[in-house]
Amino acid sequence: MSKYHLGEFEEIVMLTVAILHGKAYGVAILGEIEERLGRKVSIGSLQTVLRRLEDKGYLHSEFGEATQARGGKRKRFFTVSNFGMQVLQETKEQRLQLWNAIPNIAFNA
Amino acid sequence: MSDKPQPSALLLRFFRWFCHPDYLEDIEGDLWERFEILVEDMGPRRARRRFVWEVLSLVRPNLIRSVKDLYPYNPLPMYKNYFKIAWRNLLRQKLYSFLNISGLAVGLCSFVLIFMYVQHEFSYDQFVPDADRVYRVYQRQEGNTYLGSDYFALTPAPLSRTLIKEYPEVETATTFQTPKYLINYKEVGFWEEGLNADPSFFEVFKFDFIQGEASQALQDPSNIVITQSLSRKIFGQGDPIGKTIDVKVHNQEKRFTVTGLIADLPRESSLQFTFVSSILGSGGYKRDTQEDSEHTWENNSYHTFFTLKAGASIRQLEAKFPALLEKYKPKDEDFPFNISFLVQRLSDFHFEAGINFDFGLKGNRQYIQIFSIIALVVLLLACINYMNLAIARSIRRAREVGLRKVIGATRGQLIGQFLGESFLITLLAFVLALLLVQLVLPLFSAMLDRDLLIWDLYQVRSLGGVLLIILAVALISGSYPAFFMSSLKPHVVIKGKLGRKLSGLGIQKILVIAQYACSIVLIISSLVIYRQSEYVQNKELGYDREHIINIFVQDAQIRKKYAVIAEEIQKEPQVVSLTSSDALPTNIDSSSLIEQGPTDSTQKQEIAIYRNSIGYDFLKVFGIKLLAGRDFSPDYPQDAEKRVIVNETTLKALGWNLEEAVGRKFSRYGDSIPSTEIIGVVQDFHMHSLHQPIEPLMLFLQGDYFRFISVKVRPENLSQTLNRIEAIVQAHTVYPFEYSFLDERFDQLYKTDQKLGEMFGFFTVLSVLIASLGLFGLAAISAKQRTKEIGIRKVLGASIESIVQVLARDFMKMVAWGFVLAVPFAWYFMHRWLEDYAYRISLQWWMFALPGLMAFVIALFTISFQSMKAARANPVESLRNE
Repeated sequence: MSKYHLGEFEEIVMLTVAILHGKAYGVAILGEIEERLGRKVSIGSLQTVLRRLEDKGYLHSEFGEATQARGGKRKRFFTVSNFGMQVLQETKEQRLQLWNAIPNIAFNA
Repeated sequence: MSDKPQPSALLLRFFRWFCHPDYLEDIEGDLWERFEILVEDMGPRRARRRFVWEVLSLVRPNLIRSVKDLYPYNPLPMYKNYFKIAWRNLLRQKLYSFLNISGLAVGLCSFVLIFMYVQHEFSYDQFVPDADRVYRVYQRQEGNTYLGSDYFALTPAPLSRTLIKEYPEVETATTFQTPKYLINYKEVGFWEEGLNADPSFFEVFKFDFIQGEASQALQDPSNIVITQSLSRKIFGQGDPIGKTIDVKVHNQEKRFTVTGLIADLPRESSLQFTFVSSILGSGGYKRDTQEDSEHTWENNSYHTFFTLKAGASIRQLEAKFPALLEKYKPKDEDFPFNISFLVQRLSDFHFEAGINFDFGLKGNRQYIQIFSIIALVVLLLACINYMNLAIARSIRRAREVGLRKVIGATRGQLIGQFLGESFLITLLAFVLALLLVQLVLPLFSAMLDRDLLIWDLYQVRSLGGVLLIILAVALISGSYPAFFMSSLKPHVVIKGKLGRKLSGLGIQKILVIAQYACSIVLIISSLVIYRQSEYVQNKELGYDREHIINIFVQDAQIRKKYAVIAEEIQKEPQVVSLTSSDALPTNIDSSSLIEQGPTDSTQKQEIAIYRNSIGYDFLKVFGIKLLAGRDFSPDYPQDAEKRVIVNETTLKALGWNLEEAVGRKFSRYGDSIPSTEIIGVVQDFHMHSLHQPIEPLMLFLQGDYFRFISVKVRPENLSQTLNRIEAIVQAHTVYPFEYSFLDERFDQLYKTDQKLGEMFGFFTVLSVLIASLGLFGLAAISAKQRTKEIGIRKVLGASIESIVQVLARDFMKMVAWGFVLAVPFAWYFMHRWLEDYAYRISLQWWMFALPGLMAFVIALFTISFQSMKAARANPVESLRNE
């Protein structure tokens, strides 16, 4: 077993952050997930995951500039850290391994 | 922008409250943005609903604040710091801490003592179930004064039955006597005081029965209910129910069977007994309640208590009593006094003194008031001390305050800190005060004639009050320093510009002056009270008070048989002489009028004159001095008619000389010609308490009516003599033997004043002590503040004396001002107090000067210690620092 374990939703969030590449902040991530996967996610569940991933060191974050919109609050932009990329990679490989191990009979049947 | 829909402010506030501060900003931004999107997608109404859900979804363990962060900052370390600084300050300045704490402790101690006393007084009889509905009946016999009062606790035996039978307002009633039994159990005899009560006693006083049945306990004449302590005394650990007790009452043997066991009565009970026996077996009671006898309502020797029905009006019931008396107790020619029945609530029972033949310890409401005021004053003095010392020390603490402010302490925090400190000190002082209370409580209890226990203080109901005191004292004493200190400007303080101005000398001075004014008022008062009571004690009253037994006569039988009884008593070897009289010389209060001046003239004037009818030997028994003429004597049979002995004051009122008085006649009010002849003149004696002046008095030879037999005895074997006299009198009457010694009665007249004097003395000492402690501390601080000044003075050649003078002058001025303030107050109070006495010391200048001087000397002594130390110091020490 790998020492890293990503949950399904964690993986989606990380991938989405990676897709948005530098423009990933809360609402943008929500929009992206909804658009691509058709999945409704609450701010609460997203933020919990974001902070958890950040604590683990998979994500980095920094504040953006303050704007008039959003009640004058700054955005926090997330990026996937190198370590996070590594974990994503590893997860992907694990999946692939599993895929590859499925005997062909299973598909043919 | 305002027309754009906004997310609910309440929800946002909620969010800000629970959200972890690190995440707050960006998530809130997300929320705003999200809300705008939602509004676009689904319109404001649904968006709002959706938004609630969004906010709630954020309540997650890793997004909310930790409990520790719920408040803007964690104050605990700060409290630790406050505590540490407070503690260090206490330790560093041991002297001031000691003065502060001990002063407060003394003040608190006196307050706690009086608190305990007051609480004890108001707790009397409250333990009785339904105490607010229990009343007793007593009576007034207008003019029949005994022991200075014409109120009597005793009532006729049938009264309680009549109350139950004829008055619907009365739930139940009981009657009882308070006998003393000589209990013989297995050859051990001892006296016990108890009650002889009718069967309904335990219906009025619903005491809990440990064993036995309350309703059945006194039904049989041989029943007796005993308390646990008596049971233990007689039966040890055994079960007392059904056992018999042999007692001796008035030389009669009786056997009782125990039918009930109750707990011992608490201290706060006016009723104190170890047994309640059934009165049904008493011969006297049977006779006094006989339906067909016409004398049943004559013998007043029973206490009557009743329970009012819930909701009934006691006033209405009382209004029916005249009719009751009219019905059962018609006017009696032999008994000239007007009788009325009165009621008294059980809760007032403890506070009504001055009812004859009453039982139980009596309290005094006026005392409670005076003592409460004194306690508050002493406590206030202690608080002032605290304030003064705290202000004086503020210089040392000013830098701390400045620094705290610079670092960011708010004024509120500083106030909190200093109040907290005063709370800490008050708490320490309180612990000390408790120890002090424990020490002086026995003395205090003895002074008040009460049995106060330290344990009373630790009862739940007391604790609330005690906590309140601590809080109040901490607030009062801490508030001024706290507000003063917290108002300091950091830029001034930290530069070290702390002149003497800062120490708030203005208010300090006023406080010290107030302290000394209070102390001096107290000293003057105690001195005056002491002098007055000494004066009263030593005043020549004009009659003897030693070794005279007075027997109170209620029974007409005794009056009829007086000759026989007198002869028997006279035969006793220890009896010197005896007499009978209507009133005793301590209190003669019936009066009439005589006329002065020529009878035919219009210049006739009426003189009010007190009168007393006496027997032969009255002057001899009481040692009243005859100045002219002679005493009544059996040798002159006409003495009984229109012949009187008068006192000097009467002659003065008539305007006659002593030489010409004997043999002269005067008119009594309504006489057509002067027909009352003076056969003797006695020296004035005080026939009332010294609260009243001596008035004219005439003494008659009595007819058959008298209320007292007075016996002068020799001091040896007093109790034996008393027993023999009792035996002689009791052989002729069924009434209880009531007697008193004349000197006891005299002391009783002034007991209140004496106690007042003692208490004043006690609290004066305390207040002077507190004021001295405060002054000592201030002197020490002032000496320290002026170290450099003293050094310079010395260098320039000042002598030690002159320096001491300089240091002491300020303080002595304050004491002087205190004195100036105190004198008018003290004069006013003492003048008012003395006005109550017809014979009193006059207020003399030295009674004010001496306390003033005392205060001065004490203050000087207190200050000089510190001043001398400062003045003696080598100036090198104080000046080399700069």
